[in-house]
Amino acid sequence: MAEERILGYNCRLKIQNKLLAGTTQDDLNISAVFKDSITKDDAGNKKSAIVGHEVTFSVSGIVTLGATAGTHLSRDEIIALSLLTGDDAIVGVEYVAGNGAAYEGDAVITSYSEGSGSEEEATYGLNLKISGSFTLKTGT
Amino acid sequence: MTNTIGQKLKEIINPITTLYLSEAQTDNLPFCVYDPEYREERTKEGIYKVVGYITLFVVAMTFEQAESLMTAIKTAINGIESPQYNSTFIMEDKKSYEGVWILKAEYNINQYKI
Repeated sequence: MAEERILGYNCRLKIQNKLLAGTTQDDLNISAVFKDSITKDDAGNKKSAIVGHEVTFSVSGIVTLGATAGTHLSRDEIIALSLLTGDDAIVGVEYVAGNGAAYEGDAVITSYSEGSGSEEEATYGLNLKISGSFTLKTGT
Repeated sequence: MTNTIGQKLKEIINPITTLYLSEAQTDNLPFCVYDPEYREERTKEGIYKVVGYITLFVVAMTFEQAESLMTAIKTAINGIESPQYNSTFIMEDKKSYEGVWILKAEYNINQYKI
């Protein structure tokens, strides 16, 4: 298979099967959760075992009102999701990079922020954390 | 998204005085010339904004005529405020060269996808 490089605009996060309007950046971060053990037999050399992962997303973009209904989440819809609590606050997410495989899982929105300098478009930032597993989407 | 900032400038300035791009195609005063620089800004959906850095020159035989035309042009540019366009005045300059008055104004004019 030939090597294929993709530009960032092909990498997209979907929440509840919708893209986020005005997105300029989607960042995925997968961090291993370790358990370190030291026994006297290790002679001071730690042994690490990966016991899980913390998967987070950071999205930023231009605040957009009246986004395309059905396919995109507008600013007001993103805020509404950010204010949910309990089980309602768990949202389905899907992430795909170009023609690569898609990954999916449930997530919670850990923060939403807006910036509004007087002479530029208002911007937003959204952070999510996967709750449970983050797995390869079947069929991709 | 097609850049229409130049067309918009012609639409609003030509009724005031003839507008030329970069170089006047006449020796008859008064006239206005604009030098544009453009860049595009994108979201992941594509271009959402064209940023125009526009320098305008009004050239006239008298200061009064040049200033009157520049005032009318500024008013016209202020009037383009809409969901599609907005403008920000940056600076102006006034000088006389061999008996001809040249008034310069710089603007940022943004065009948005609507």
